[in-house]
Amino acid sequence: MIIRSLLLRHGRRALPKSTTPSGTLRRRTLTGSPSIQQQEQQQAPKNTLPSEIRDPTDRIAQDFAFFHHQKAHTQHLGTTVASHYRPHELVANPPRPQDITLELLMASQAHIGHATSLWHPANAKYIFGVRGQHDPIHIISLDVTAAYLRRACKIIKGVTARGGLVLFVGTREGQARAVVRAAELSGGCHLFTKWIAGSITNGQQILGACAKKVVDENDVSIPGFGDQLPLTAALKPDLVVCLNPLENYTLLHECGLHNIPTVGIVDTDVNPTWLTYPIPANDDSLRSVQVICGALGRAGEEGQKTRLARARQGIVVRMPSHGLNPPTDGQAERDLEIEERARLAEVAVQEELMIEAEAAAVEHVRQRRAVKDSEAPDAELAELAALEDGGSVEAAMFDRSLKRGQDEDEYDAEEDTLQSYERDRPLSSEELAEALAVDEQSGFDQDEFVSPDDAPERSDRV
Amino acid sequence: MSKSMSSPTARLLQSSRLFSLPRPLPAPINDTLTSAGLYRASDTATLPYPTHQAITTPASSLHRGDFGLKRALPAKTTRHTSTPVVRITAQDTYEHITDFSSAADHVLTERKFAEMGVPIVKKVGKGKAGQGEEKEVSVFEGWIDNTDPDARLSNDRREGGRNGMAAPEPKVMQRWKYAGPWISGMQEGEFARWLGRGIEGRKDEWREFVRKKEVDSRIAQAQRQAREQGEPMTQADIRRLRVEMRPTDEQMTEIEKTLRDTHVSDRLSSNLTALIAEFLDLPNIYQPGSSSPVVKTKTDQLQAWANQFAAEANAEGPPPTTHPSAGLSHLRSNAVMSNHPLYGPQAFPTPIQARVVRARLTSAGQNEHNAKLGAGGFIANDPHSETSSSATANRRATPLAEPDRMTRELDEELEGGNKVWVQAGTAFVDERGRVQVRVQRAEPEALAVRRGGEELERVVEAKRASRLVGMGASSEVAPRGPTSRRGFGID
Repeated sequence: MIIRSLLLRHGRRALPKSTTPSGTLRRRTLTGSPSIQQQEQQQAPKNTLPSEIRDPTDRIAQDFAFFHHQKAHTQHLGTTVASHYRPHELVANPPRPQDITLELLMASQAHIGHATSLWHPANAKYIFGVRGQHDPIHIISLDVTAAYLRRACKIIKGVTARGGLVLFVGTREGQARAVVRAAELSGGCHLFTKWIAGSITNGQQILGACAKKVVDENDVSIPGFGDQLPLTAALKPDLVVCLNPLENYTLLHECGLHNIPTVGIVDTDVNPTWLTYPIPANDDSLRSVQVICGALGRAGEEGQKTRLARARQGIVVRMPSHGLNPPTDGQAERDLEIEERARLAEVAVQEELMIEAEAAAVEHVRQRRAVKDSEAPDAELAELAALEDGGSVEAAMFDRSLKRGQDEDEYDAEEDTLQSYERDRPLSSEELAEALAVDEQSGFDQDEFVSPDDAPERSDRV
Repeated sequence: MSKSMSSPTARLLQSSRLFSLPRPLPAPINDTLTSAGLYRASDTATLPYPTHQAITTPASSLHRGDFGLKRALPAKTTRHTSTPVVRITAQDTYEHITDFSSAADHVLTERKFAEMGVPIVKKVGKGKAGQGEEKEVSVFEGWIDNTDPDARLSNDRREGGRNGMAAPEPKVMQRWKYAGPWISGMQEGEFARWLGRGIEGRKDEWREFVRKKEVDSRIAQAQRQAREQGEPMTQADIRRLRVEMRPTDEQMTEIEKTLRDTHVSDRLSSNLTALIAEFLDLPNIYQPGSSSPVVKTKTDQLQAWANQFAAEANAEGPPPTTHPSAGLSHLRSNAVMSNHPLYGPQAFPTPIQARVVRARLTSAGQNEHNAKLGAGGFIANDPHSETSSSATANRRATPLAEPDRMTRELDEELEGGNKVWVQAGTAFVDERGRVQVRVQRAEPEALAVRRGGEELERVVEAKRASRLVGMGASSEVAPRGPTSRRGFGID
């Protein structure tokens, strides 16, 4: 058998030959026919390979070419099994409402409920059965989940299509990305830290100072309401989506008091009456939460698209009453001026922060240098420092200057360089603040310009 | 149609991997009886066999802690480990946590076992092992790996002989699975419950069974007589006789009385026992040769030990709880040769390093017969006992000195503990689910090939010298292996 397959490999010509091993059988190679090989072996010394045959009429060469021709023309045929499971895309590219299937929900562990001892009996109609003997858990019926999720998607789509504001709340660890993404898709708000109790029932006290703006039907900001907006009431969402109702009872209660409808994931241990539109599913698995939140976000996106498309056609659903008067003369210009000033101040603050960071890097390198002067070679130390500082510009420059000289004399010169740098360096934050306070006569409130780290967690906006 | 079939959720869940997880096995008893008395193993000790399914997950999901369970598992214990395998004790508990632990112990043990290349063989009883040359037979031979009570022996008797382990002529078709329980291993209450549960209601079925057996035996007798007279019976004759020879109720009463009477004298070897065993499909009841009844003791624990000893003394003890291979290995033979890249096929398997778990001289000052070795995660007996090793040591002076020293006494100064090089032989799974591995001391030549260095050079030199001189073999060279393996190893 082995011999036959060997022959097969060497081309069609060898096939009709006898497959029995005999003395006359000679191993064929691609490099030449037997006769040529024999001649060459007579001439050339033994142990050297026969030279390559370039004759295109040779049968074996033809076979070889045919084989490669076939390979080139058939290798793209058939299927390739590609990996279809891409969990990293779940947040960035969430499923649309029409993509919701029972299979998807099951793969996302949406059906796994809590231990039976933890259940809330009001969920009985969503529960499919009990699984396990030693550790019984409730199993949520997937068709119910899919139906309720589709209904919730329709509600969100309807709210956003009428210009409503949706607030996505998911305060458990790891839910932030999904919540932010859903809010981004549906043009709503997000909350992934603690709900400040009273933000709805006592909104004027808690969120009253927050910035607001007026937009037209195409979501373009309209200036000129700067004098009226601080007097209007704090915004309230038109719909709240809560991914973990158990921890956000206060929020749901406030929504109930203000007739704000709520959508939420109800695991088997949650009271479903807390929510207007419950979605029975597993709220502990991040994957399940991401699928549900993503589908709701996609529904919001569809609603927004519908609204904007209608607005382009001139069909606008007006808010019943906004209580704003038309802008007074010159108010629009004043608003724009304030905006521009705020923008400039923000740029200044950022520049100052960058300069501070660079100065700190240089100072750090200098301290290291002073401590380990006698122990480590200069260049090595500078490299180390540059690495630790993440390769900032100043550190790299200093690094180069260190590398230039190894002697004591040049060390003094470097000190001079440093001192001159200290002399010429830009102002520090305190100095800059002082300078700004002196320069700016009109005076704007410094508190308005906060660094990104201090950004408010509230996300109410108009 | 039930709810479980009609609902779309149900149809999906039936193919769910989570729902396919098998129920955990009952935990094995960790108490063992040693010469020092009862020894209770620790709660955290690796169990003799896994009871829970081990679960793993693809790397992309592992990064997210997603094992397909109720909630993601914490990173600290699952992601920052080289063996991300877990077993689930509870999906969800009252404390809102998923109860899990690492399953790396059994997963790694299984991997090591596969690397050793040990085939699982049929268990040979302790009493029989020493008596004669009973060959080890793979559990995958056709006459052992069988669950069908009506299976007949295949004609191909050479089946087992092709592999290295020569299969003896199988006398009877064997089974590893029975419908009935193993009565000798039952306790009294358990036995009573079993009797009450379904035996009493099967009286009519039993009478019909006995009647059919009686008819069969009568027909067989008639056929024999017909053959002797030179008039073989046709199928039609047999069909007619089957109706004619059917015993009447009076005859049946007589037959039952005879069966009972013979049982009084013959006990377990009686005809009645055989009939009952066949009717209820009981394992290992009818043993014509066995004369040692199972000892009756007072407490349950003692009874279990007594049963265990009885089982160890007799290979036909309780039937295995699983397939005799326990799914641990699917190798039928160890008659394979490892191929060394430089020295070619080797006569002996590559040696592995075994840890001396218990030396012959224990800390209590007792002198045990055998040292206990830990080979690939399994405890094995050192094949050289106190008496046999000294004899061997005299025969091959230098190479065996080290293993003997290692197994004799624990050297507390030695870094890494006492180690012995062994080569894995065969293994069997006993009726309690414990894997028993047999090992041999490593051959010096195989060890030299394994370790390389000066030792190997010395062996190669000696081989070369012996070849040059002729048959005058040097004392450093191991004697040649069996004739069947001549030409392999270093030549």
